[in-house]
Amino acid sequence: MELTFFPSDLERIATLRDWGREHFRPAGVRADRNGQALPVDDPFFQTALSLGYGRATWAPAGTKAEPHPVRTPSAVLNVVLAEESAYWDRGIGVALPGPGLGEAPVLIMGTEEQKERFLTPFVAPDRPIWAAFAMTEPSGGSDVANIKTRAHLDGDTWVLNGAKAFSGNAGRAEWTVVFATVDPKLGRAGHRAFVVPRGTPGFTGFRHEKKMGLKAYESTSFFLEDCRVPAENLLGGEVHYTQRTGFKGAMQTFNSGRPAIAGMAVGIGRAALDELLRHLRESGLQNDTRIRDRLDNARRKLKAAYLVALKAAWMADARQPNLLEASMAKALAPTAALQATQLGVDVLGITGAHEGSLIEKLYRDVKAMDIVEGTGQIQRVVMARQLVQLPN
Amino acid sequence: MIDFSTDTDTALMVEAARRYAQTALAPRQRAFEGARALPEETLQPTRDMGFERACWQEHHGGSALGWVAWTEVLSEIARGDAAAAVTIDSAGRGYDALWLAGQDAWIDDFLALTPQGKGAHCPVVIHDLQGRLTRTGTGRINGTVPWVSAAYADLLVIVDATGVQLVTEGFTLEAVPALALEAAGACRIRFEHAPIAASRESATLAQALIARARLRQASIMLGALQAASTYAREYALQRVAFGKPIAHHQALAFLLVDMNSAVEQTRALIQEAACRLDAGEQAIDACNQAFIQACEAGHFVGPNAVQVLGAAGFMRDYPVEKYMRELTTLALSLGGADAARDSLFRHVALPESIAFLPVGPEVA
Repeated sequence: MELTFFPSDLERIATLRDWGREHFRPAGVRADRNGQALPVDDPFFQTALSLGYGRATWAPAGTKAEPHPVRTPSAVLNVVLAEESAYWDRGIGVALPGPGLGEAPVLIMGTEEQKERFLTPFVAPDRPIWAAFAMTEPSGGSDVANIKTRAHLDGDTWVLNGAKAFSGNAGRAEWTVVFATVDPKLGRAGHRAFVVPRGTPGFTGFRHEKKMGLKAYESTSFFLEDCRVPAENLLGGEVHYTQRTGFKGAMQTFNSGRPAIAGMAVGIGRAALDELLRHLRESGLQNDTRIRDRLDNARRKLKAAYLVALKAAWMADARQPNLLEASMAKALAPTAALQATQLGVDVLGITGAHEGSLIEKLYRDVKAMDIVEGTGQIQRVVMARQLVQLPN
Repeated sequence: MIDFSTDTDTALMVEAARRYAQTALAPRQRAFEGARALPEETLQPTRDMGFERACWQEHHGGSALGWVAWTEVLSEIARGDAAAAVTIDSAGRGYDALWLAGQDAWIDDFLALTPQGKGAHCPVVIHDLQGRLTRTGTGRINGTVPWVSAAYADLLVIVDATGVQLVTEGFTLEAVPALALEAAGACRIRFEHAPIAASRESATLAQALIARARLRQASIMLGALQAASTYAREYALQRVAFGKPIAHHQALAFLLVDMNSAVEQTRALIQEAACRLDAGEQAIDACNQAFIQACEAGHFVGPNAVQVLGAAGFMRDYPVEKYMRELTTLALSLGGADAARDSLFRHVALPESIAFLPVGPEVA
């Protein structure tokens, strides 16, 4: 057992720290104060492109992808980089250009032709462009098997009807991966994933939700009204859905998404505690026993959650099934981070709760971490299935 | 490198500890408690397996086992019986204090268990964090320690906030009833003008010793936590109410999940502290955190393990009431969680930043 980093990883973290201080936090605070995401033509996104963001991790055959700043083949390193990135601004982390969450389903389910068609624009983009992912619907999030958006084949095109909610960056995306069902009675077996390009007729009604926090990226709801998508945009083609476990199955056995989200939550909590430390020194409260006790408790819980996340990620890297550990990390980290930000608000008092203070922003931002990628309660359901075979 | 794997040697040792704990300890834990002792034939295999001197330096006949490995072994033993783990760890705990404070000289002068050593066979470490003992100007100690987990001692290693003192005479042990861990012995120790045989004044040394002892204690608690959590879960899968196993009622399912998560949080912090110690750090902050976590987890998991079993859990027919008592008792030693919080507050300066990893010099 060893808990150290390679020098190259430390350099990577240090670089990210510099970028975070110089670019990400100022951009995130700016968006928060404006109450909306930075516009597509904001110079920040061009800067992000120059730092290596905005690109796919995929590369055409015979070439090698440029290393992405925070998306690596190592789930462990991704947790560490996600933590550092979210320390500076979690919302900006989502707002950054690139294929984002849309890339994984294309990589996992897509044919080689589809990968090339959809991801080539992200290999070396000369301007910031986005892609998006849409699974959640107004009627439900975690109950993925019961999505309502319907897909039926009409000749050589698929026709989509339904509504999607809380899709990050969908309003500015070149294309969005939309999940729909060919028959709700089939559950996950009825699911199909389609790449829906921007401007497709019937891909409509985009509305940016008003959020409590994480205002730096758009959470977008939209409708699919007789939206016709060519058959070649069905990821993997129909054969994929009869022969493979599908996107969810591939994602779940060696889950690296939940540990990364846990890392992000820890990053927000750590930022709150650092901000609190600064305040304690400035106000001469660093020796207050009650505050020190609460600070040490918050520190301990954040660290424990971080370690659990790292272990879950390590298991994913080692190809060990990690459903239990991944959900544990995802359940523990957001509550620990909320406690840390709550402590910050409590101690800073009126100052802390004042709009414009970083602590106040972090407190609003962090709550989402207990909701996205499955709430803490859903994570407990997942863990209970593993531990006590809780029936579905 | 972030690597949670266990090397082959450690895995073999942990597996041996697991087998021993589940065959020789767990089935007889009630008998040990009733007898207020572990029989010699139960302890001898631990010596044969090298557990007694696992953490000792090789030139003293030990295996120089690292902290990561020993904390895992200790937890496995404690899963079988926490009192046995306390007993088996006592030689290592005593050795660690002597080694850190006095190196070879103290080991040779005070321990009879080494090839060249003389003196004690049974060192007992006392952590006097409440100032119960007083020192006279002539180098003698008076006072009473109300409870230690030992039935016999021929060397007392007293660690207080100022340093370490060794006492070989002038004290008496008197058996007392205890909430738990009686199989490890439960005695009151009275000091009457006990002469200090050797001492070393160093608050820094004392902090380090107390922190390391807390990590050992946390490891024992982890074993008891694991035993309680697992027993409750398995019972809940067998017990049927309202037409299904009680584990499938969501209120209990979530409780069992949270108990398991508390165990894993404790394990994570113990592993991190052990890694730091193995890397040569003092790891005072990390050890104290691990102990506080173990105490809090104990207060959550122990009573809830009883709760899951309902009235059956309250009965001595099932081990969960024993786990609950043990977890509370283990959390009382070394000043309990509050003393560990004081240690963090007094001895670990407010860091510049809340740094987590990698293992490296602690920010202080």
